[in-house]
Amino acid sequence: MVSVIIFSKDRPLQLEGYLTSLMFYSGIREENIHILYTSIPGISYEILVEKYKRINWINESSYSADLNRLIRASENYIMFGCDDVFFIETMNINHAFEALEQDKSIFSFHLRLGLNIENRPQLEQHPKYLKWNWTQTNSMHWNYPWEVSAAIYRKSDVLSIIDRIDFSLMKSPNYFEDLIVKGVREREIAIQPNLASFYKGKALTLTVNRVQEDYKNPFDQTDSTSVEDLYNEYLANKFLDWRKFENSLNTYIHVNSSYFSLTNEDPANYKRPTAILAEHEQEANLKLLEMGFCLKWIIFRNRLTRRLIRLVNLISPSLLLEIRRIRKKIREIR
Amino acid sequence: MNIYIKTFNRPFYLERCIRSVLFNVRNYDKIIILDDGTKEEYKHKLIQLFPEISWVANSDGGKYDLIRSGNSKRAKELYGDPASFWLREISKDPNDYFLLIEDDTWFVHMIDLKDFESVLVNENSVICKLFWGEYNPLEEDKYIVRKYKLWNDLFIHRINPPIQSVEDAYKIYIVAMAIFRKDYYENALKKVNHFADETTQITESLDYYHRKPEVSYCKTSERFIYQGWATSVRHDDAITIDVGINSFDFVDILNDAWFSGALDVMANYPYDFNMDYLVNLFKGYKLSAEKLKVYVDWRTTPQLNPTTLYYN
Repeated sequence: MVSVIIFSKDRPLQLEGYLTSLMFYSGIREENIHILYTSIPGISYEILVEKYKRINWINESSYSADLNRLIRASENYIMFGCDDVFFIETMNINHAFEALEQDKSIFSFHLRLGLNIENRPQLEQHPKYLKWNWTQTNSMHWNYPWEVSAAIYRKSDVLSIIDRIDFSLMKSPNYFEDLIVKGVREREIAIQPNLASFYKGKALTLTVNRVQEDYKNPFDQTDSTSVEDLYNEYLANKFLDWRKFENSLNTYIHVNSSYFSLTNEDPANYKRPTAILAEHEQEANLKLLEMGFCLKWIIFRNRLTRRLIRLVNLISPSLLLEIRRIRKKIREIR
Repeated sequence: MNIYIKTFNRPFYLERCIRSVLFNVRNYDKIIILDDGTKEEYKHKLIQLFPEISWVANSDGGKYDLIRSGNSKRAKELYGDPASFWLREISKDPNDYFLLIEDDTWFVHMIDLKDFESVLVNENSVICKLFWGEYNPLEEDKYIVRKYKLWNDLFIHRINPPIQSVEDAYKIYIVAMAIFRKDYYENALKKVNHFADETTQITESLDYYHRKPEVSYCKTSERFIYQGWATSVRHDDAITIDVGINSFDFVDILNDAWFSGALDVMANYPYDFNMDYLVNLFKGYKLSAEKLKVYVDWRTTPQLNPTTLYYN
């Protein structure tokens, strides 16, 4: 089955957001999760280690050696994750395994990509997933076959890659991602030509801080979201409010602080919705339609251009989310 | 709700089955293995791997040896028929509903049994099938009367198919890979004297259908369970004998490979072990080319093996 290997540095609050949203939306349990973490003095993961006891917690001593061991002990599929990611909607993770097992030309299954993400290449639409050739596109993210934020790989493929490189060079997740991508681009590492994703992106990367200086990844500094600020919130029993952004229509895989929110409610206690009679759900959908004529007109007439989506997203991601829900319901009702 | 897994000396499949349950199934009380004759050393290894699982044995490894040496009659005299064992154990279950699966099957979707139970109670339903053979959506989707949406975007369908013949009764019954209401299952098995006797089970279900018009029947929108065909559980039937295949040879190799750690039980999940994987394994055991050919033919030729591979 799957081993989820998550990297975390100095971000216990965001890591908990990753964990709780992953388990809530995918059904994956603690037993399948391994966390390789490290922190600066003054930041501790002890509360999480105590709270999620069935997770395999590894306090990093040597990133490359620890990761190497974890990979070799993994299940047949490996999902890599980083603590700046959270999940935004339900996914049937077994469909990803099915795609990887059924189609050996697919190298990896990417959970942040989907039709909502801009600059789409030519996509093959299969009933349960999208497939594309990453070698034939220049579109950012779509031509990036190896990432360790939210993607699933076959263990056999990962092993064949790490056996061909000097693994001791891997000092952090950034190196683990970057050096392998370079190897692939320079054709030192051969991989399959296709990638896959669900129809809609299931996760996004919240770029509100940075925990390393080797790679100058840009991030949004408009709010008080430094690792120290968030650690204080974490100690004050605050949680990342990922559910506020459920079903969001982000158009980029990296999002800014408009997708950042905290809550006092512990997401570990969230219960998944129980089975609902489909016709009741439709009635509820019809009620949703009782709203402003203008918005309805825009939605019905499908006047939401990409530019307008971006604008609405800037003003209010939750409004965009509402529009998406309604469009989905309209399609179902029709 | 309890989960029952029927098994007969196929630990390589049973471990895969259990792993898939642990990964995919939520909100159950106990996993109970109904073991009709797994060899002791295999059983011990499985118990070590999964100490949290309950194990009820009808017989020891001696039953397998008797059947393997052609003494099925003696095995039945000594140990009885597995069907009566299954019925006896399931009758003790204190709950109204239970999930029953076989060792060569595995879950391919996440399933919350509390969700299922609430729907079945609400619909006064006696079965929810999680697996089936052929399905013609154009014909059979007409008989869906209600749909329940589950958290992972799959559905439970309440169905009301026209049941006119014994053949039709397969739409509302299956020997395992389903959630059963206890009285429905007990009724189907009460007259069964041979574990492979499906006709009696189907006939009894048909009778139940006519006697109890107030109950309903359910199935899922997709198969939640897949079944494997690496070996046949039947060692005395036409499937294996007619094509000259001795399934014991293959069962023994796979069990041995599993016991020594040479077999990856999750290989090719969510699909069955693929042919290349098995053939390589058999070659490692120096199985003759002739025997290998018979096996490959049996597994890939629908005329020889009516339980074709498309179920996965």
